[in-house]
Amino acid sequence: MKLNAATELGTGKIKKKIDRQLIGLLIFVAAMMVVMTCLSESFLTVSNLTNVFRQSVFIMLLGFGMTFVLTTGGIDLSVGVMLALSGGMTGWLLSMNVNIVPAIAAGLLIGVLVGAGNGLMITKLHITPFIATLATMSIGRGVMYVWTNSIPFRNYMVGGFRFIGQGDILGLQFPIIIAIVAFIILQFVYRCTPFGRHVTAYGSNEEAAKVSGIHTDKLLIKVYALSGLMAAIAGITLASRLETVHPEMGKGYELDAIAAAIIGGTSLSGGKGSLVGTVLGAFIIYLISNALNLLNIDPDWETIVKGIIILIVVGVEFLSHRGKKE
Amino acid sequence: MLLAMNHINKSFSGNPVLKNVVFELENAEIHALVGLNGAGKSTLVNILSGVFPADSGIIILDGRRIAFESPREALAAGIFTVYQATNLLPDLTVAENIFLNGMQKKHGLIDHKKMEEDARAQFERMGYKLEAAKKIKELSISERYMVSTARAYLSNARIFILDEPMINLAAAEKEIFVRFMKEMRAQGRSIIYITHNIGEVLSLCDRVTVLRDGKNVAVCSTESLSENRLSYLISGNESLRLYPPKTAREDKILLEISHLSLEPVLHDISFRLYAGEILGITGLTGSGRTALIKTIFGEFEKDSGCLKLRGEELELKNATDAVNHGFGYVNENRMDAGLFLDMGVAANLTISALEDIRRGIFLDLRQEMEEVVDQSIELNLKMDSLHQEIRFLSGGNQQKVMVGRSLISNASILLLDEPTKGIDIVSRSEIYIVMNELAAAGKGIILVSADMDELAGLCDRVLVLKNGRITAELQEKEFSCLADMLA
Repeated sequence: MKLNAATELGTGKIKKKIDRQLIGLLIFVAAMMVVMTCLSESFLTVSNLTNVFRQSVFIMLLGFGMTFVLTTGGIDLSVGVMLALSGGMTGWLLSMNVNIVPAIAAGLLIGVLVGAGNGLMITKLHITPFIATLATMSIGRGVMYVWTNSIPFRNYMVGGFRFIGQGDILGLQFPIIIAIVAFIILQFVYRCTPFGRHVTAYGSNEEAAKVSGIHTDKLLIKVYALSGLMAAIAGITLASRLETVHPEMGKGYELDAIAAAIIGGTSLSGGKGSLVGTVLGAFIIYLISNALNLLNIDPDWETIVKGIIILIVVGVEFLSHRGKKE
Repeated sequence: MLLAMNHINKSFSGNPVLKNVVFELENAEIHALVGLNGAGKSTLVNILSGVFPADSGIIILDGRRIAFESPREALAAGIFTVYQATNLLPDLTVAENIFLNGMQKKHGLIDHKKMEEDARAQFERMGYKLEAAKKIKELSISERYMVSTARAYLSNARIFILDEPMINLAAAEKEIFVRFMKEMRAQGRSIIYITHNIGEVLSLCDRVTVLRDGKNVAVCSTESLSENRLSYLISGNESLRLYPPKTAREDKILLEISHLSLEPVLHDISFRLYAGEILGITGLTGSGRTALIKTIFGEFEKDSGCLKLRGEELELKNATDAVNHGFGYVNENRMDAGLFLDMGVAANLTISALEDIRRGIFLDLRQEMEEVVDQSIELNLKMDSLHQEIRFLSGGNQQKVMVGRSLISNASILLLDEPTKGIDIVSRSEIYIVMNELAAAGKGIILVSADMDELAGLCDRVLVLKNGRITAELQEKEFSCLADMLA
């Protein structure tokens, strides 16, 4: 009897709102597929689509961390820089003949530490996330120039390291596997752990979160450290893929990561987010550039189209909300 | 007749909220609009004030048919809504907010000096003290409401819509507000007064319109209307009994507070809370009643004093500590500091108990659902689904969720700060029943309230707080002098 009531109440309207936006995105992707298949023969092929997916992996990884950050109502502008610092650290250590395991661990650690530093500035010094991470972004980019003397790190490609960015398992490229594993783990963390629930709660109502007994400072530090960790994973993978760490590596990625999350239905004001949406968001961004590329359209149009997509997605979301306002 | 709304119908996404509702307003009348949460009161006044249109129906103002497309149009036609202090601009000053729609200008620039003088003069006429150059965000909720009132005074509106205006006001401010209403009536203007407070309806209003489930139930004069009759009309329940029978407390001290001080608001507070007791604490605004609760809960750091839980001394550093030690806090301000409006009912209920419903690092979603189902049956929650966003629940049900949250986290001491503020009588009685059951189960409840009836109906003992000190402890037979003790 009791469980009947549970299933009855529990099904139905669950997560209906976010799901609707996801369905909208899927329809958008499908429509694009249909149109593009008519226009270009090489679009709807396994190799082209995996290629698009592989390109989008880096933004996707940053977007995962960003989804957590945005759900708390914050923002992280330093993900591009943390990506560069981590990739740089691993590459630099490898070029000094450090073993691959400590080199990667150091790269990951840099990301986590810088991220946690963001969290500390936000919680202990009460600097708003935008400003704290803007400062980190500026400082970190400067460090990259000073550290590299503006000459990219090269000559660090030891055999095992190449595998991370360029290897494959059963025909699936390793970066894609990294993204899938990260997605599965984080999806569970987001939906099914106290941490994930607290993140949503904090973004929904900060005061209430405190009163409910949530350690809000610790929570935020963890969230920004997570964002740093995801940036580090992306950075190390990218360093392996590109075989060089340029001081400008990852510049502008922060905005693409934010765009991916927003297209996927994560709210800038906090309290709502979707990792599935972020996957689709990142994929769509690269799908568009791939499509424009195949149609031989000037790449300068890419950012214009991206901006328009963001406007459409957020606009449709707003209009559908207004329709059922009470 | 000043206003007639006839056969108003309105549905939201297929659910009819108003069914053929009729509402009439005379000149120089204070007309109460009452009903349970969800009866359609807010929808009706929102239609009148142009927030959204009716699906069908006719509105006649002063003999002319009208249909406002926006609140702005309604305002221009003389319909002034005094919101619950939410429509002020926090970064502007008191004076700027009062004259927002008609700033004083000199040589094309805003004349701040003149504006502040005018604002000051207005407050003087109202008999209220407030610095006109202060920013709104520095004001308390009740002060903000007084700013809204000053704005209402200076408007030349014909109809004022007031939604639970007194709910956040202290006694002195209430007096000012009542005077405002009477002055407006004396000038021939009319007031639509939405409230859950039956006493206010009978003492302040001329007529009352009762809505139930979106339909008219009654329109009558408040003269010769009894309290019982009115609560019957509202609830549709002849035998509604607001307060459950009291249960006896156990002879076991649950919480002992001794010599607690928090300068400059609390001085040398000592009292005991027994298991199974609902202990009342009352006092005027500024008496330190909310500060006391927040200090016990660890939100404020005390200067001195000690707190013993079941005989053991306890140092609570923050709210997380308090929750872990079995304290539950239900805030008087559930919108700002209680509910997670974006989240579902279930997630709102379990947020304080997530550490307990885990398997490994993951949440045990099945156990969570079982707890939630138990609780929602216990609390008699009315909702579409357990995952419905809590913003769509009525105020009474939202407040029940707040109480339920402490139940799921197995709190043994509940700190309830004005738990029934702005809630209809049926939801209130349900919350009282839950409180009573908790007490019967041996938990301790501290109830902070300014509602004397509520305290008398639920508590055996009431502490009176005045200027941060406990000035009296009243037993049940002395409750009749509660009101005098406060003054």
